[in-house]
Amino acid sequence: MQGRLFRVSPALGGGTIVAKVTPYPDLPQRVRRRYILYSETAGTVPLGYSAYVSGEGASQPWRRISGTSLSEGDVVRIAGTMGEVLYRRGSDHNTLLVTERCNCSCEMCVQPPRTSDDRTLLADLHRAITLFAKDTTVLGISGGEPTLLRGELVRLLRWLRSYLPATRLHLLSNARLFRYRRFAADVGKATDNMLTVGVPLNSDVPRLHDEIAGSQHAFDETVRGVLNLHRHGIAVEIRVVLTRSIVARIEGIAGFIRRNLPFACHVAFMGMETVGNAAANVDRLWVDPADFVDRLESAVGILRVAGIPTSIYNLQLCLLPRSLWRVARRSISDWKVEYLPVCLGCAQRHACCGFFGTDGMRASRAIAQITE
Amino acid sequence: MEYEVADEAVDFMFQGPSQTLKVEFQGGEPLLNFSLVQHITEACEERAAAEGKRVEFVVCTNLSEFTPSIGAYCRSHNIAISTSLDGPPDLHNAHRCNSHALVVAKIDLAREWVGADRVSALMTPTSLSLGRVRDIIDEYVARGFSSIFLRPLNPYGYATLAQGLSMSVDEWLDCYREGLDYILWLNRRGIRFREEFAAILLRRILTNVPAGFVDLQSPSGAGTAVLVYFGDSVYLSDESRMLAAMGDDRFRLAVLGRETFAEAMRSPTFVELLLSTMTEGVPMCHECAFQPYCGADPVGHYREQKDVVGHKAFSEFCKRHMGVFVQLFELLETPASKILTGWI
Repeated sequence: MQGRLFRVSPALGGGTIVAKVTPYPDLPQRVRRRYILYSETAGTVPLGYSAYVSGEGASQPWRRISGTSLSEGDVVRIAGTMGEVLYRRGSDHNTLLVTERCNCSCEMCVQPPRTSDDRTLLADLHRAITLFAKDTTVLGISGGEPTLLRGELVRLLRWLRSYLPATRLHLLSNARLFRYRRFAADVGKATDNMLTVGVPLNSDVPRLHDEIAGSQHAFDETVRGVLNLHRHGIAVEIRVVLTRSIVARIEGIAGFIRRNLPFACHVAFMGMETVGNAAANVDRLWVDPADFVDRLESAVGILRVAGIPTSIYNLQLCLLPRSLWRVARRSISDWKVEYLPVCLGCAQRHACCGFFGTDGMRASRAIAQITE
Repeated sequence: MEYEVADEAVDFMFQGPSQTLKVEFQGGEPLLNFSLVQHITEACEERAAAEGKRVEFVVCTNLSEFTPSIGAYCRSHNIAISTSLDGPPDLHNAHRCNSHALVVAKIDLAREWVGADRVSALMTPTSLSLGRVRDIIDEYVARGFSSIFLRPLNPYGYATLAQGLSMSVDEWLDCYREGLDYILWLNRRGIRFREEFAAILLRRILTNVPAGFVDLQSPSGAGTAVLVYFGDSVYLSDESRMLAAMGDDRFRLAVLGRETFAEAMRSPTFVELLLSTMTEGVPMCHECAFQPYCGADPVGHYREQKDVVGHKAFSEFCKRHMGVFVQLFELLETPASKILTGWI
């Protein structure tokens, strides 16, 4: 559908703008600075909006947008000529990127760490959050590694709970810093049972997990962190990315979760998205799902017996035995998803996750049309 | 209020039959005596837990003394905040000694700690507010509120002392109509915003959910839906307490430590008051089309006509409510009903 990033033609003034999109040129003066006026045609200029964006090129202050289109209720940030949709109204796939720093360097990372100006990022996000629709059902928080923000993450979570009391929060984290009990307690207190933390687990063998995460002691710290999260009433989801080395021990991982992390609220087996580090290492990491679906089926079976809700993300239905369809989800964000030509006549296309549109995602040799 | 008196007040309110109690802290400025707020909150929580009741809290405050540590306490004890915002800077500052900048900054701080939906503001209209209803609503929208309560001025305390500040019922009704129309227009512009008085009345008209609004009870909500504790006395309502402050303690229901809850509720004067405020049988109410949705206002009628029933032809309460009911029923017949029913 639409990407998150876009460009706009230069403005007269400078400064970063965080505001909500409206198509209405006649909002009350006093509230206009919260809004960006967005119009297909660049017409008259009602004063007071924080920016004027249009699909067509026109004279200042109108700025031409390219790369995406905007809708009423979206919240965007514009810095110079770069724009980003921070929030899509009505989408269940909104994610706040809160830092680009990380304390791991996983070989399959889709968003390799970079230094980032977190202070500015956070200030913009705090402002943006006050503009999100109150009926937002779920919101993701991701990085980098969000826990590196420490106290600032606690403040952000409290802010989210304050402004979006009905919204479930989902934090992606390697949970290593939650080994500090006090930090886990503070996060628990700030989020009142509305937070789930999604934690990647690469192996049931510490040394293998650490190698994949590119960091020593990662396994030990992650497991201790997960136990602390549970201790403080925070729901934990375990995420297992299906790379070659991880798949090699997939049943062992399921067994480890069953025995040691039986409180996990959800386990997700995730087909690889080949961007970032994963793209650089794709030949070493990628394994055709057709070569492991039988072991995946048995791993899912182990978790079913343990009563742990389980899902499969990013694997197309035609690769999976029908017994696994009930756990296969349409997991690819609405703004990324694509289908192959062969999918055109597929009877199950409506129920299938499709493919990542942002990468040259490898298609399994077993991709085929389903006729019923 | 002394701690010992506060303990008696807590005991008194828990003698009542309600399974859910709402405790509202008023002043003066409650944050100046926050340790008493904490004392009462914890006493109520303990009592509620022991008796299997639910208790909710609200602090009515100008927020000037609000700090993050007070916020943290409010958050963990689920205490909501109610403050005052009368409109844009010039209007608010004219009413409340130049406190606009302070209160809007503190509202944001309170939202961060207590929760945006747990911080509400009330506006007090005066003659200075005439013709400014859109400005006032704009201020609420600009400050990120999702609703406003367009309420009439209570003619007590400073409000009557400051002659010339009052607003007539007709002026208020015009103001209300203009405000409601403007809010509906904002909703058509993608700005979700509610008028709370309309929302309460619509809930009363269109659903079976009790409105829980003191003015809309029959018999009188004052005394049955609300009690006000001031000094060692228990009053029927906020207005009763203000009347007492002006020298008339007719609506004092009990003295703490002297009467029990049951004795107070059985006192002949209170029973008499309830009997005479059943709108189903009150002259002119009994034949009114809006009676099922309306309520009694004994204290207001007493202030106005020295009679708890009052002649409705001279009743400001009646005129105000009739005016709003007519507006709402008219609007329910228009496309605006879609927006209005969304407020329920």
